Amino acid sequence: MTDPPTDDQLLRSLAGADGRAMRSLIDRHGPYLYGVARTLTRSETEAEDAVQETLMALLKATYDGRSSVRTFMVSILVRQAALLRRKRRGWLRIVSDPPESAGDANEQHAVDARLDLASLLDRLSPEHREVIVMRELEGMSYDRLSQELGIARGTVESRLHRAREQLREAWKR
Amino acid sequence: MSPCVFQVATRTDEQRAYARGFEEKRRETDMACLTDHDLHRLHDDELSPADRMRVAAHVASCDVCAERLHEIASIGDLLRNAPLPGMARDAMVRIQRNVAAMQERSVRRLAGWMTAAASIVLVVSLYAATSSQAHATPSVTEWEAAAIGVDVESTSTDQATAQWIVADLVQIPADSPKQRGQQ
Repeated sequence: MTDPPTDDQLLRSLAGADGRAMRSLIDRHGPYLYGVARTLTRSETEAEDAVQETLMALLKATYDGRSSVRTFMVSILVRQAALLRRKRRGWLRIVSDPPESAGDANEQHAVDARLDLASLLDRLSPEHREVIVMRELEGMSYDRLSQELGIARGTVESRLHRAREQLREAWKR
Repeated sequence: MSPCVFQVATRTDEQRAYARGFEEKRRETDMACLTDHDLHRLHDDELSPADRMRVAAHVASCDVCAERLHEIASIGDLLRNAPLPGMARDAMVRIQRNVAAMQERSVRRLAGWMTAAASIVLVVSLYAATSSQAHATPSVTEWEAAAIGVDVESTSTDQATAQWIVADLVQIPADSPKQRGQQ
């Protein structure tokens, strides 16, 4: 019996338009990516969109092997979530009718997901959420975070410190 | 505010006592407490080896900084151990279906582009081949034939001129058959 293909092999197979490789990657990492996306976006719809866009971006992305495939996918996901957030902001300015507010989403999940990651990071701004998720969950270095997020290393540090400080304050209460 | 950076003007006895205690503690360790940056960098393993040794040595001898470092580590532990929001089964199915459809569209689009590119290459190649053939076998015009072909009858002024130029250039002897024929 042959071993199942590694993530690297699946990623390489994507270039050959292998539908099975994509399905395997989704089976393996879809739930994790969705969980991170929900934490970052606080919206089920946006989380699904962000995961879909991430998987499509994988087809064109170049994996440099500096991190695990999952970390690579999360870094794409964070960028896609930020893009969707910016698009949504622009859209909200035009129609001024939010389709799904963060508050409603939080209330829906208040009972069954009080202690999940999304709830824990609920008080943070999107920028602080993305930096602490990438650091604490994926263990990215300050330099890598700076590169992935397109911000200065000093900004990475200050966002990270601020996020931790806010969390510490929130949990003290 | 961090207790290591005690710089607020003290007003009450309690605050003065805290400040005195803090100063004594600082003198005991004979070095200033660490900044937040140092502690976060230590936790994130972002210090140089020399700085890591210095900061770790201070943490080992300072309860206040050790407690602050423990708090930072606890936040990380809590986040890493927190469950991620769950994914509904129908969401998974939707994502699988939508991504498969997008992937197929992407492949079709790529195939379309490749077909178009191949067509362009084919057309350009055909044009280039036809064009080079035309240059390789230029048709001989009537006046050129008249200039080199002595048997061609001169029917126009241009042809006569061409024959005259050629004859002059090669200096045809006066008793050549052609000259004799013309005479």
